Amino acid sequence: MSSSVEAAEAKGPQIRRTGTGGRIRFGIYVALSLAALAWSFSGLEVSGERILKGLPQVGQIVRQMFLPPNWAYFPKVAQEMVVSLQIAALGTAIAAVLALPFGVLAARNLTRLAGLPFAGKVLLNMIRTFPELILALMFIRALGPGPFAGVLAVGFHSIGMIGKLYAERIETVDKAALEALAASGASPIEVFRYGVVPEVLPDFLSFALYRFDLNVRAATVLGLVGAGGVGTLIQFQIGRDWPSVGMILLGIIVTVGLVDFVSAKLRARLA
Amino acid sequence: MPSKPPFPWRGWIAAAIVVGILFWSARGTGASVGAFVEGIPEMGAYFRKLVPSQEKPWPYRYLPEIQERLVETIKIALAATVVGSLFSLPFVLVGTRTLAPGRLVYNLWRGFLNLLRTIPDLVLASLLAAAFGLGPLPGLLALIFFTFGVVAKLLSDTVETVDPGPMEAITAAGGTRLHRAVFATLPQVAPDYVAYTLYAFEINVRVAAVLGLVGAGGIGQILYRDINFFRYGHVGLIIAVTFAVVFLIDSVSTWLRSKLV
Repeated sequence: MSSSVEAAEAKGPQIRRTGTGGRIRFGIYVALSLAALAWSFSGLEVSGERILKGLPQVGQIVRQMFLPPNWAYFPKVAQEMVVSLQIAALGTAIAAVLALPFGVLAARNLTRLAGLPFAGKVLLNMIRTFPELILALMFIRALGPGPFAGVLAVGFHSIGMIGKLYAERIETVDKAALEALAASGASPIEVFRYGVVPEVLPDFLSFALYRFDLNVRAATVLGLVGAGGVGTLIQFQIGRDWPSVGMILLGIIVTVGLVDFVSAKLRARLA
Repeated sequence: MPSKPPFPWRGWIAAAIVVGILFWSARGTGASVGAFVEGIPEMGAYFRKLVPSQEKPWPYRYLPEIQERLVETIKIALAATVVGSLFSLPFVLVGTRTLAPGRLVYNLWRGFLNLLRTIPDLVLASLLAAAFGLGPLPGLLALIFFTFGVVAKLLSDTVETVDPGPMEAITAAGGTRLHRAVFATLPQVAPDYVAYTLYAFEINVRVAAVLGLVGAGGIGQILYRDINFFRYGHVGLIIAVTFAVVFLIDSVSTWLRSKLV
């Protein structure tokens, strides 16, 4: 129950118990899929004809973007990509700190109030569900366009997922050890400091690193609505100068790929 | 008390580097506590304006349009989830070490999947919107790509960790690669597959809600329009209704997943 897909992704592949997989359940799933497919395509302005018409267009755009990309645009892309990375780094750090109280409050094993963890988890889910692009638009209206609005959007939105992962991790801390500490006269704060922190800290760091991966992607998109970073260039060049868009896309792919790689290596060392 | 201090000296160096990066990031993005505090009254005023009842007349007439666009949003997410996850299914045959026809095919395919996952969904959507024209089609296609990438990767990861017993039995009985996949692997990972599909659906709903900001259909399209026309009450209403619906779907789906795996 506590091992969500997010937690599994944050930790990387691990050997796990095998499921039994009922055939009836799978049959129901297939039937549901078909029904969903039929309903979702009804009334959607999507036709095979439009797809076929668009495909040559896709081919042409891809050719213009990459054969060759506008290499001269590289310095500009690098400059804005750095801003995207900075947005992601600062936003993640803000969220990683602000999520701590939420994580503690939402963990079932640290409080005697039964309603508090539930309320905390609902609140975290609400934060997680609120789209960061809409947050960014709101911060832009309030503070003006630019990367600062992006930092705040990323920072606020990320509290949801990080806080949830924190809480789930705290819940797996051995309760007997905490009780032993409390029995030996440790105050609640000391129990937390010596019983919980040393055990969960490496995992907390890897959750933050994992969220940083996702935030780098998010920070490349924020510019599409004016919240700074490399997306600003996409917004500016799309439909205008395809070779430059190609250069931007290459920059994004290389940067995101590198960040993913380094982050996975670091997380593997933390685990 | 723990015998080992929680922070070895290498930890302090790493912490110092991180703090340095954060200061550098704050300078680069123009972020500061001062600017944030100064902006608070402005933010407060903006959020107050978003309350729909501030607008006269109260924009309730607007609800049918919101509903129509929300249904479109959910349809985009659902269609993309079903198509993308069905497409990803046969690709475990190349994405899994135990089932792939060879090391090279496996590595190439895994490399391609990683490449696909580096392209942010909304960047792809805005590129596709340029190719296919505005509307739900580019959004749908972008989300199909995204779903395919996520489900194919998670599913292949899972297949690599299943119990090898049934597969060895089928090999011993003279079964082919396809036999191994269909009879030994798929039954074991079926619940995981459904869980990954639901997981992708949750993300797709959230992304579909903002696709319209880049011209790719759904509720985001009228949201963007109303933001640009400074119709604050409308904006507030759209955000509130969309958020409620997305949150509901997300909660139900997360709960279903917790029952599955």
